[in-house]
Amino acid sequence: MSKRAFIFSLDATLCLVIVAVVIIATFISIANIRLNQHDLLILQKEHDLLKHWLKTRASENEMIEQANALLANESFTIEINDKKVFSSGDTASNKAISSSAFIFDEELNVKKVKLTVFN
Amino acid sequence: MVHIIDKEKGFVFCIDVSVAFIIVLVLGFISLAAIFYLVEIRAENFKRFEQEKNAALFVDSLIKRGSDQNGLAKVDFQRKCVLENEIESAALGANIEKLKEHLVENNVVEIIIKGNSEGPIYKNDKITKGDCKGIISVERGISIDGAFKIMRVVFCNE
Repeated sequence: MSKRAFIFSLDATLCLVIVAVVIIATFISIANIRLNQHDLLILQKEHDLLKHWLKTRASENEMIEQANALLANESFTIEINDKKVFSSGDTASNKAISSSAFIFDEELNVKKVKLTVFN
Repeated sequence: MVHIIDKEKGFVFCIDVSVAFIIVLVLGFISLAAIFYLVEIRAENFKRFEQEKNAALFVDSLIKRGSDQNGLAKVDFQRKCVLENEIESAALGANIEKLKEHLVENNVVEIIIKGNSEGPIYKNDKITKGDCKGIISVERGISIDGAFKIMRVVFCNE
């Protein structure tokens, strides 16, 4: 051992490897964070539908048809007065964006419409 | 190699100084390259995010009519309010013509009303989808003369 050299013990080597892996994993995860406007667009679409339904006092069938057209690739549910009237796709996800509105008919009966889109 | 260090038994890895220097040099270059590559990806992602945000806000202002009046929505002059998302088909062509400058500035390639047999209501003469590096498409729900329609605005990333 008279030669000049670096000597790594096993635990020091393991420690170096772990530190390197953590640094690389952090960099990769930072690079892969994909920011997007998906949530904002979903919220805007929900509001578009609710505004139209408020204005036209849409029937259940119209609501389903229009929501299916605008939210074609999304999983969503429509609830009227807290009763689920339509469900599309996988609605088991914990992450969801929900909007609701109160619609009055000609006799001023109120109807609560809730639209939830799941991620 | 097994050595006894202060009576403690363990594995010891030996590495020559010159070999160590070369390894450190190579690792340094690889790390630098990786950092530059990751920074570039991050910058691209951020740029894309900004473009998507601008596209979403531009389409929003189109169907809401902002304070600068550059929108397609109807205005109720009696109630002095903008009827958000409500568009009159009779005024649509004229409004699009008025907005042409803004649409070109914002790299809008085309505006399509889904189900409209007449084709796009706006088409950019200068750019086509094929000229774009990337395309951002924003869909929104609107009322045209009381009927629900889907408006798709296609943006070009140059």
